[in-house]
Amino acid sequence: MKKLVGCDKLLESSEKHDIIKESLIKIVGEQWYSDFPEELLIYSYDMTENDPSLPEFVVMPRTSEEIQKILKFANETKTPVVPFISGNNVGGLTIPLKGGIVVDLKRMDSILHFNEDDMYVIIEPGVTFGHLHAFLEKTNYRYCYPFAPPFTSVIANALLDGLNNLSLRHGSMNEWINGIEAILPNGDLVKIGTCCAWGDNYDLWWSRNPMPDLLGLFTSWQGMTGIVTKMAVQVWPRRPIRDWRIVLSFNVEETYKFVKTLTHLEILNDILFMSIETVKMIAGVPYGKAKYLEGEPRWVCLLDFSANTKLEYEAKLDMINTAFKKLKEVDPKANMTNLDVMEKFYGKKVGDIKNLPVTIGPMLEYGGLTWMGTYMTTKTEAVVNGIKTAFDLIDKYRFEKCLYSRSMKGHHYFAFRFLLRFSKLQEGETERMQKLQEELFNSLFELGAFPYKTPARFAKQILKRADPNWVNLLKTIKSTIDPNGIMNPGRWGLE
Amino acid sequence: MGLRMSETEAINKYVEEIYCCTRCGTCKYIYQVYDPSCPAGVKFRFETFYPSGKIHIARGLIEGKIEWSERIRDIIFACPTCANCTIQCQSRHHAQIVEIIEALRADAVSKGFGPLPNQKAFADSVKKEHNPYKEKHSDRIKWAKNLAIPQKDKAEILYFVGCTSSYRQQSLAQKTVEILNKLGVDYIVSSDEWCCGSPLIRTGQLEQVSQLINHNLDLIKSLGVKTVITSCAGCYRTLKMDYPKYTDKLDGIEFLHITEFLQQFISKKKLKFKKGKEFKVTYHDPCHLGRHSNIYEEPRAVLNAIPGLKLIEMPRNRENAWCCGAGGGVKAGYKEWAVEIASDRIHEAEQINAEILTSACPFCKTNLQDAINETNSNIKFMDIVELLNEVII
Amino acid sequence: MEIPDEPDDILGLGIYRRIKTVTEISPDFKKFVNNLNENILLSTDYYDFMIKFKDENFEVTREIENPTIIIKIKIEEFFKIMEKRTSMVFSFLKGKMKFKKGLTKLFKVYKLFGNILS
Repeated sequence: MKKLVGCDKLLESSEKHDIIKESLIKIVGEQWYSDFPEELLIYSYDMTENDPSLPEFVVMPRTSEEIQKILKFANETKTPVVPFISGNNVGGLTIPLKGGIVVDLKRMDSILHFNEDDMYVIIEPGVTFGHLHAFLEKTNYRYCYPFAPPFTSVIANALLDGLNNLSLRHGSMNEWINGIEAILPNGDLVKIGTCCAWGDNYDLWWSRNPMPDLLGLFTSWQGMTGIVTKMAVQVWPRRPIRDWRIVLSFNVEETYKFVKTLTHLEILNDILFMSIETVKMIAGVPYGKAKYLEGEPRWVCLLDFSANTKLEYEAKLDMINTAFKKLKEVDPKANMTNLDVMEKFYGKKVGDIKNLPVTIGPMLEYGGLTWMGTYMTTKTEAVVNGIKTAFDLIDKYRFEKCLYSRSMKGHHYFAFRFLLRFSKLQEGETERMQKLQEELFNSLFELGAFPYKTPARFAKQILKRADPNWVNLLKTIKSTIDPNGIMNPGRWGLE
Repeated sequence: MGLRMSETEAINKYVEEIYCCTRCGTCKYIYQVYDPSCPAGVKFRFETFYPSGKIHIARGLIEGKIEWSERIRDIIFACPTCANCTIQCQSRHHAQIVEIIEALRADAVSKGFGPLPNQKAFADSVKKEHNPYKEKHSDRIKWAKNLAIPQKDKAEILYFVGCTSSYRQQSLAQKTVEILNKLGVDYIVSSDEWCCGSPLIRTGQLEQVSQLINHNLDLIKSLGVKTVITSCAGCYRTLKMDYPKYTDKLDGIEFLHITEFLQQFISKKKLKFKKGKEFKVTYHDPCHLGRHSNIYEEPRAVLNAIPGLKLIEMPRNRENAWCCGAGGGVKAGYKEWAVEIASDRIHEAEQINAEILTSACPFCKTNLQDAINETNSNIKFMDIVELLNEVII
Repeated sequence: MEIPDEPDDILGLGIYRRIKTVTEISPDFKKFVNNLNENILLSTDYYDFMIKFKDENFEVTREIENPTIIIKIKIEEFFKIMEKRTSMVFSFLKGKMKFKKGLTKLFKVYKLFGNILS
């Protein structure tokens, strides 16, 4: 095998390509290597409005050892590396901005261990929410599931601070991580959490405390610091009784107060605060027609709660009813019903909210889906202003006002999101969406909303506005871990 | 956005459907069950081999971002078009996924990148002998040599035998007519039946298709029959689902799969069975009969009527059934790959301790039997007509 | 591939889909609906909308014209019936579901909504 180190500039790009190809094939085998144009094309874009960019190679390793070899080689040759599993992050985060090697991790799809006493499972990156759900259905435990297609990666969403249907109780998904195994850009394998001491014993991955918490070197770094190859995620006992309530309301401030009241009672698993357009979208109203019409309830809340006994269930329901009565006093046309009624009227797609993870077909069937997904303060004024500001902008650009927000971790912070479908077939629509996103970002950031799964172009702007010392620390960490800048380069505005 | 669309390309008919797909991955596994659904995807794992990947290849071709190549041909033709993706996909284009893949195949053929050599041989043989097996047309009903098939010009029903049962899996044809004879059905078999067109439609070789359809329809009309029955899932799918796309001259002709036809006798209790001992049978849904034509319960009704037969289901059954691997020209194009897919199915049948694996399609029989041989399995394969004929009086 | 032509409003969409679902699963209800030549105006505290039955077809629309039956009901009561916290008969007797027109067609309305809401 030819050596590429230090002489890349002297080589013709085709020769360099051949050397990298040869090396990658040696590591993963010919079957799991591709540089065919059609393969590269598919990894060059996703469902979002983010601009496409082609990789040069795709590999599908099966083991941590193979990934160590890939990263060691990429580091020596200064070749960019982009980790990929399903590419459904809605932030364009697996688009290889600087080309290089896409490391598709979907073959690493084993559930390695289930520790029932300490309630965690150890999984590989290719394990999807669907597969974890199927595994846990045979136990008395549950994981959390996002409102996303079942075949997205648990590890990717956990690392990217994704949210889910237990986020009201536990916060974003990174808070469920006990520990990880990761490969650093130089090929070193590290273990973080209690597994740093007893890594070979899967029964001792029970916490990431008490020690300096190095998990932060990987969460929300968008694959810029290494590739996570194993993760222990917490699971929780499944309660035997589970139910849902839907609240239809008209007054934004009173509805938001109702949300706050309920979160403070600490009785719910989850509470969603949505606009009527979101419900219409979920119910299957075609793209472009999910609009608010005069006389309709403007807001819809979904309350998810569970109990161990009938008594506990009834007590919780009683507290929900009391909170709702207070809402009705100030928002007289507000109504509350159960999810079965909604399912009867609108069909299985709405009822499937009970069966997460599910694919919301109508959200995903126009070629384009993106969001302005942020975490923000829970202050009423900020949320209400945020909604008004966002709705005005979405109107200006003629898209649908699908608010899909959620209280996080007992209402310590708020997941403030707008789901935006668009058609990639319609001339100019992708560009129009880019402009809307730009304006949404600028306006909501001013109101205290911080985008998560942040697309590179917004991250760059955040760096300009952020405290320079924070930015310097970020850059120092990045350059220390990844001095050659090979890992998902271009993300977070860091070159 | 610049779309490179030419009127001659079959795929352009599906532009709207192609742009529906966000590659969300739902087509990759059985929805809310999470078992694998796509044989090619599971085997090759790269995104392009999954149904969504093929749709995005189509998009790349339309946008002029990629060019036809032998690898694209292989991706498109390695798919057995089992239509499992059409069930699992939750998006509004789901029903058209197989049509998109078949349109890609038609374009591959018209651009000289397809079909595969063995598939091309189908077309040459069909042109010469009206069957894809290079057999003489004059030998088409040689399988009936020692059987009492009705010798008449007109009847109520035509048994459309199909090329595979006529030349390769002759037992299916023989057992079918034995059953029809036992039931006293007024039927006819024609020596001038031509290939239904399925092997050509499935592999994008559309040049002769209209001619085949016209011939077969003329034949059906000349015989004065109102009902056409077939024991081949491939013929059934083609007659029932494809013919109406090519012609509006079907004039109320009813096409029935033999299991649909037999179920009518069962519901009227007109079948008489021998007494039998208990045996465990599992049923493999042929893709062309199940997902393509929505026939799931009729074969099960036939099996459940057999005394002593205990029908047990494989985990993946009905609309979620794992493909046998023979369809879509894969058996001819990629023989080993076809048997590999079938081997998974044999393993699934073994796991539930079935003694007999049955199905309702000569293609499934060929490939599942090949996989039984390849894996040295002890399971016995019998087509549903073979099974039924043994137990009825 | 067709985009379904359904009402865009949240109440109309629900009623439309429910009628479609019940007609698909109940031949009796389908027969009943096919013979129902009525324009039923549902006047709710959210907004008014009509279910028009004609020539074996039906549509649900916010365009109000020539109602033959007018029913006034609050959405809260609607949900109560759906959740079986009350019955249609009880709602009617308590005056929570009022006929503003077409009281003589009570039986038709009972059968229609009895099937939709059950």
